[in-house]
Amino acid sequence: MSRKSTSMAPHLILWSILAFLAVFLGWPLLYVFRGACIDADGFSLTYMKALVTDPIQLQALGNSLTIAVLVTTTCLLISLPMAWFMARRMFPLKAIFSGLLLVPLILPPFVGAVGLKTLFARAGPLSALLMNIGLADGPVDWLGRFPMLGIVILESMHLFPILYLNMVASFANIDPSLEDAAANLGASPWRAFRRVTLPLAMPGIFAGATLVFIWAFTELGTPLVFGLRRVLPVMIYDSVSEVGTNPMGYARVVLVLLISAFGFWISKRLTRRSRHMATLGRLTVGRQETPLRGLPLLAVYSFLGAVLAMALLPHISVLMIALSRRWFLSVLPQGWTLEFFGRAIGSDLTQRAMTNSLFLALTACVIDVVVGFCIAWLCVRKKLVGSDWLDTVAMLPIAVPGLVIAFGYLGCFSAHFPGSWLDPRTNPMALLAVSYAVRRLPYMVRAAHAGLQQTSITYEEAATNLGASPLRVIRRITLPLLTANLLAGAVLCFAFSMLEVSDSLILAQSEQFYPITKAIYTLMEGLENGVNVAAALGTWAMALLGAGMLWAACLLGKRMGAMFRAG
Amino acid sequence: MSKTAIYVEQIVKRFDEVTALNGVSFSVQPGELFFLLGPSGCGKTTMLRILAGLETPDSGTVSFDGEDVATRSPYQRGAPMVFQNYALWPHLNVRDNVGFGLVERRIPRREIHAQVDDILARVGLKGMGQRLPGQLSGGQQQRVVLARALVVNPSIVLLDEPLSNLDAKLRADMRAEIGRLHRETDIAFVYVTHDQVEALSLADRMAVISNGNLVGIGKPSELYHRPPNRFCADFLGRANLLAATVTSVEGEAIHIDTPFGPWVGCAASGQTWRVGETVLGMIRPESVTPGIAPSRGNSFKALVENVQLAGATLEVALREGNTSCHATVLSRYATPITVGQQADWHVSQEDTVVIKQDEEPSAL
Ligand SMILES: Nc1ncnc2c1ncn2[C@@H]1O[C@H](COP(=O)(O)OP(=O)(O)O)[C@@H](O)[C@H]1O
Ligand SMILES: [Mg+2]
Repeated sequence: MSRKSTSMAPHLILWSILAFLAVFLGWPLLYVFRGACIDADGFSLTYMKALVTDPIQLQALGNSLTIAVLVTTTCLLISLPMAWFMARRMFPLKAIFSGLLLVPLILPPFVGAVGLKTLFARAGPLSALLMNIGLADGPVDWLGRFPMLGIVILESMHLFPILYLNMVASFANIDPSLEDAAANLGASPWRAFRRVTLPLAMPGIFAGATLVFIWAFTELGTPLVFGLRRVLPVMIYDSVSEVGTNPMGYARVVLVLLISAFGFWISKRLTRRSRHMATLGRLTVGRQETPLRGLPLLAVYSFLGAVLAMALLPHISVLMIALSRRWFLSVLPQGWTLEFFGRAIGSDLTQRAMTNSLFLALTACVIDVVVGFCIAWLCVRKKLVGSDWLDTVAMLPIAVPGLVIAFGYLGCFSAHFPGSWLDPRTNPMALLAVSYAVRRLPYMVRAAHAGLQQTSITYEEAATNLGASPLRVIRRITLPLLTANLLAGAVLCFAFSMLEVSDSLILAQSEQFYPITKAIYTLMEGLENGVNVAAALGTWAMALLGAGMLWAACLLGKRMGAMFRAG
Repeated sequence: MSKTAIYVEQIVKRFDEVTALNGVSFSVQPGELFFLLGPSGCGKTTMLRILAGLETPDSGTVSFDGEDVATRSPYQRGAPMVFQNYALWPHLNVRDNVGFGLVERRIPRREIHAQVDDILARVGLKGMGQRLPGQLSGGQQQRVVLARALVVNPSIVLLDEPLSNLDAKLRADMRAEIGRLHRETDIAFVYVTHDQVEALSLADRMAVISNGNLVGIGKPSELYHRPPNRFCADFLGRANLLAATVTSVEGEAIHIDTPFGPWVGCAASGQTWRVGETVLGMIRPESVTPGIAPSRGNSFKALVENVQLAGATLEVALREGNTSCHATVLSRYATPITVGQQADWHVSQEDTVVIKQDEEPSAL
C-alpha cells in the first residue's frame, strides 16, 4: 500500500506543475492570440494586417528590427574575437577577465540607460568634453540626431556576454585535433579556424545570436528611458491602458511572439542538424592553449579593457549622477552630495518599492527553487511519461519575451478574475511574483538539471538501501548535494527579479505596488532632481544585486556561464 | 533448523534487447558467505540490485526468510549493500555516513553515537569519524562502506565487487578483513566478484554466472575440482581439455578414450553418461605429475616441448601427437625435466574430470 502511494506522488507532482504552467504560461499566450484575432464581430485578421501595412506600425516594427539587427551585429563583432582568444590562447589574468566578462550581463540596462542618457544629453559631459577639446563648437544633440545610438550601445554592451558564452562553449567542444589536421594539410591557423572551427561552431553561435536578437528586439526598458516611443515594445506598453478595449495591443504582442518563435525555430533546427556533427568531433586530446605575449597580448588587453569600460561606463555614470549636485555642460559633476542616496531610501515611494521588490523577488525565488527542482528531478530521476513535455514547456519562457507574458496576464486575469487577488488592476503582487518566477524558471531548471546529472544516482540508491523513504532520500541526500546549484540558481532568479523591467512596468499600475524598476521610471519622469534620486535608487539596487551575484559566482564557479547558453 | 535466509527463484530480467538474467535460482543459508562469480557484464550487479530491491525482476521471486519481498519497497528490504563505487555521500563525514541507516531506523542519538564508535573501531577507523570521504584513501573508504552496511545489524549484506577499486596489495588485506568481519558476525554475505581467486579463497558456497545463466553452484573446492561444465572449468582456473569418448560407466568411475590412451575419470554429480558419447577430459595443470602412476592413476607418455620457471613452480608444455597439455610442478634446483625429453606423466582418477562437450553451458 505504501508502495502504491509513493509511486503516485511523482505523477501528482508532474501534473500539478503542468497545470501550473498551463494556467500561467499556456493560457495567457492563447489569450493573447485570441485577443489579436477575435473582436466583437468574430474572427478577423484586420489588426494583424494593420501592423504590417499601416505606416506608423511599420515604422515601429522597422525600428525594432533595426535595433535588434544592429545590436546582434555589434555583439558578434565583439564576441567572436573575444571567444576565440579566450578559448585558444593563454595569458595572465585570463581567469579574472573571464569572470569580469559576465558582469555586464548582470548590470541592468534599464538602470544603465539612465546614466547613458545623461552622458549623451545635449548639455551632458560628452558635449562638454568635445567642446573643451575643441571638436565641437556648441552642445551636440546626440540623442536627437541618432535616436538609436544610446539604445544600441547599451543593449550590445549588456547582451554580448550571452553570445560570448555560447561561442566559447562551442569552440571548447570542438576537438582540437580537427584543427591540427587542417594545419597538417597546410592551412594557416587563421584559415584552419575559418574553414574548420567556425563552421563546426556555427550552430552554437547562431543559437546565441538568436537569443541576443530576441532580447534586443523585445527590450522595453531601454527605449522607454531614451524616449524612443516608436518601437514595438514601447507601443505595447502604451497600449496597456486600453487592453480590454483595443485589440491592437494583442496584435502587437502576437507579432513579437511570432518573430521570436520563428527565430528559435530556426536556431533549434540548426542545433538539431549539428548533433551529427558534434559526434564527429569529441574531445580526444587535451587542449593546447598557446601562450600570448608581446604585442598581441597588449592588443588583447586593450580590447578587453575597452569593452569592459564601455560596458561599465553607463553604470558608473549612474553612480556619478547619484552623487552629483549639479552636472551641466561639464565633463565631471560640479559638486558632490550624498543627499540623493538618503532620499532614494527615504521616501514612501522608494521604501515601498524596495520592500515590494524584495518580497516579490524572494517569492519568485522560492517558487522557482521548488518547481525547478521538481521538474529537474522528474526529468532526470523519474523519467515518467510526460516528463519530456515538462522539460520542453519549462524551457519555453526563454523563447517567450517577458513583455508577452505580462501583457497576457493583464488581459486574461483582469478579464476573468476581476477584483480578485489575481486581478493585476486590484493587486498585481501575486501575478508579479508568478511572472518573475515563470520567466526565470528555465535558469533554475537548468541549474538543478545540471546538478542532478553530475550527482551519481548511487548516492540516492545507497540511502534507499539503508532504509530512507523517497522523501527522506531527497531531504537527506539529494537536496544537500544540490545545494550549490540550487542556491546559485536562486540567486540568479533573485537578481533578475529585483531589477525586472517589462512585467513590472506593465503589471504594476498603482504606486503602492510599484517594484524598484517602476519606481525608478516614475522618479525619472518626476521633477526636482528626479533623475538623481532615480540614479541613487538604481545604485542601491545594483549594490544589492552585485553582492548576490558575487555570492552565486563563488558557489557555482565556472558553471555559472552554462546557464546562459541557448541550446 | 535450516531456515533459508535468501531464496531466489527463476529470476528473469531484461533491459531492452539485453537479457541480463535468464532464469537464475539459488538459495543462501543464514550466515553464509555466498559468492556470485562471473565475467564482467554477466548480470551479477543486476542480481544484487534485484536482491536490494533497486531493480524489479521481469519474473521470478525473491524471498527472505520465507517471505516474498516483492511487495517490500527498496527502503524496507533491510539488505544493505556495499556499492561497487562506494557511494559514500560526499557532504557527510565518516560518522554521519556510517550512522545514516541508524537515523532512518529512528535509533536514539546517543545509541547511534555508541554504535558508530563501536563499528568504526571494528573496521579499524577509530578517530576518523570527522573526516569527509574525500579525505580518505581507497582502503579507508572501503572500510567506511563496510561499516555503513554492518552497523544497522542486518541479517543480509550485499557486496558488489568491493575490492575492485583497490590495488593488488590492499586487495589481499581487505579480502582477509572481509573474511574476518564475516566470521565475527552471523550475517549472510552475498558477495559479487569477477575474480575467481577472491571467490575460491573466501566463499562458503558460490554460484558461477555466465551470460545471465547460472552455470555452476557449490562449494569452492567442489566447483574447482569437479567443474560441471567447460565454462566453470575455464573460468575457475587453468584447465587442460582433452577430446574424449565414453567407453563404459561403472558407478562413479567413467572410462574414457583420450588421445593419451584409455583413462578413468569422475564427474560432477547429477549427470548421466552414454557409452560412445563425445566428451571432454579435464585435468588441472597442477594435478599432472611426473612419473608413472603408483596404482589406479592415468599414466601417459609425452614430449616436453617447453619448460618455464615461474618461481615457485615450473610451467611445462607437453605434447603427444596433436594433443598438448600443460603441467605445473614444484620447482627444484635439480629438476629432472628438460626440453625435448620423452617422459612419463600421470594424473589421479579423482583429478580427471569428465565434462559435457556442449558449446553453450546449459543453465542448472
Ligand atoms: N540499467 C540498465 N539498462 C540497460 N542495460 C543494463 C542496465 N543495467 C545492466 N544492463 C546490462 O545488463 C547486463 C548485465 O549487467 P550487470 O549486471 O551490470 O553486469 P555485471 O555486474 O556482471 O558486470 C549488461 O549487458 C549490461 O549492459
Ligand atoms: Mg557489476
